[in-house]
Amino acid sequence: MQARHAKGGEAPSDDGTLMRRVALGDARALELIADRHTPMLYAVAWRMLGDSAEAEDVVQETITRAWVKAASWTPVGGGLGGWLRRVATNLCIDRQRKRAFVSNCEIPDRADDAPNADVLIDEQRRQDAVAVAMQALPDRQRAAIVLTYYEGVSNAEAAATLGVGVKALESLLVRARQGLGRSLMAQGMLEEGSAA
Amino acid sequence: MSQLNQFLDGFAPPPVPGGLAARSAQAAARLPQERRSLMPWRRGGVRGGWRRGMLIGGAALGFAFTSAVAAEVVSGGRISIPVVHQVVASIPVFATHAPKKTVHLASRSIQPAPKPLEEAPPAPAPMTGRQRLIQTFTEAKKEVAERRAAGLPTPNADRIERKAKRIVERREAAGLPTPSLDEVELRLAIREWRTMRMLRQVARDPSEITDVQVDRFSRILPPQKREQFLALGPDQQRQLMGRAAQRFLARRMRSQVENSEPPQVAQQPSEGLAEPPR
Repeated sequence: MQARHAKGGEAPSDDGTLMRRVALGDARALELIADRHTPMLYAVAWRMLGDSAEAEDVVQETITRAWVKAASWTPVGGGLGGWLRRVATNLCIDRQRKRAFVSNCEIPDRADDAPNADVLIDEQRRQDAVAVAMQALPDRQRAAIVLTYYEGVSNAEAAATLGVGVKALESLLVRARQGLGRSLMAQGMLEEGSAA
Repeated sequence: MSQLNQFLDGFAPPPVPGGLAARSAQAAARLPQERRSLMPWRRGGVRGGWRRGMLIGGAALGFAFTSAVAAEVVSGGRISIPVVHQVVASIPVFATHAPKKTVHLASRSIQPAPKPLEEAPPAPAPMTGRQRLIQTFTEAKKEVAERRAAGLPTPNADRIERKAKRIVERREAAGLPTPSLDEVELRLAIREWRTMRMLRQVARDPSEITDVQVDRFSRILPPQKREQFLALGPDQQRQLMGRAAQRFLARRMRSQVENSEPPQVAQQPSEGLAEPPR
């Protein structure tokens, strides 16, 4: 979801106008863009990486790319949001690959941001299970689920983001759901046959 | 909704850390921005950009070759383009062209046919001395006109013109037959050239002064001085002529330098009219 408000009473502008200002070196316009898209970028990065600190890094790097490459940015399908989401997704995939190459250690648990209340224990267990299942997925399958299920991106746009065809994306989605179901069943969270 | 979807829905991200957006924007704004490339297909961010240059180059090459083949075929073999000609000739359909008058393009092996020897134009009749002077005077007038158009000074030409006008006016006032102003200017210029040539020669080597030159010199002197001059011996006359010529040339040079600005002095010798014909 995009935050459609401007800071300090400044008149809101569309992304294209803001990017043109950014291309001219307007740092204020970049702040407006960052305000508008950071929640979406953070959600994508967090779901992809399962780590708050790394998600913050990805957000920062994505905003940096927007600043550096503003002059060559052209509005295409999906607009600036789609472009930023694509950059963030690719950065997450790169990070996952580097992490997998450097270390084979167990996937770290997600930081506990919620208050430690008894009523939330079950919910927390379910979230942890999904987090583990998500992290167990291959990069592209995880990206396909994050983009289409959580971000509500169309299959065509998600396929373009990942650089694959629509059919290939649909195949990725099917395999991702199967993988998530198997992982959750292995953790005892799901019963056999209830994943569909 | 399946049970899996219920699990997925519960997988919500934590709230965005406060100030992340502002922090990210401020950190980014400290970095230099990339400039827009003049050749968009060379940008690294464009997918398949490396392929486009090759495609454009290949298309241009193909278009050039096709055009060359078309030129060969349409001309019926009269235009022969190297390399392309061999390709076209190897195609049986086009190889049946009857050999026609061929125009060779960009072929180094074909030497141009030697031109037939033409009769040399008849040599112009030798000009008389006066004709040469008139020709030189005409060229000098052109040069003076160019200098005037360029805003450069022409003191010698001005002086001769003023003198010519005075002569014409005087003759008209006296009711004498008056030649045209150009004719008077020409005569004055010729007289100056001759005088200058003689003076230069005299100043250079007084021993080569002829009797005719001594006689002419004596005629331009005032009567009293002429008598004194004629009373001298031949060697003394020549030495006196040499000194007088040297003094005259030096005085003339000084007056030219004084009357002209530095850059114009450098251009002074190129001015016409007062220069002797070569």
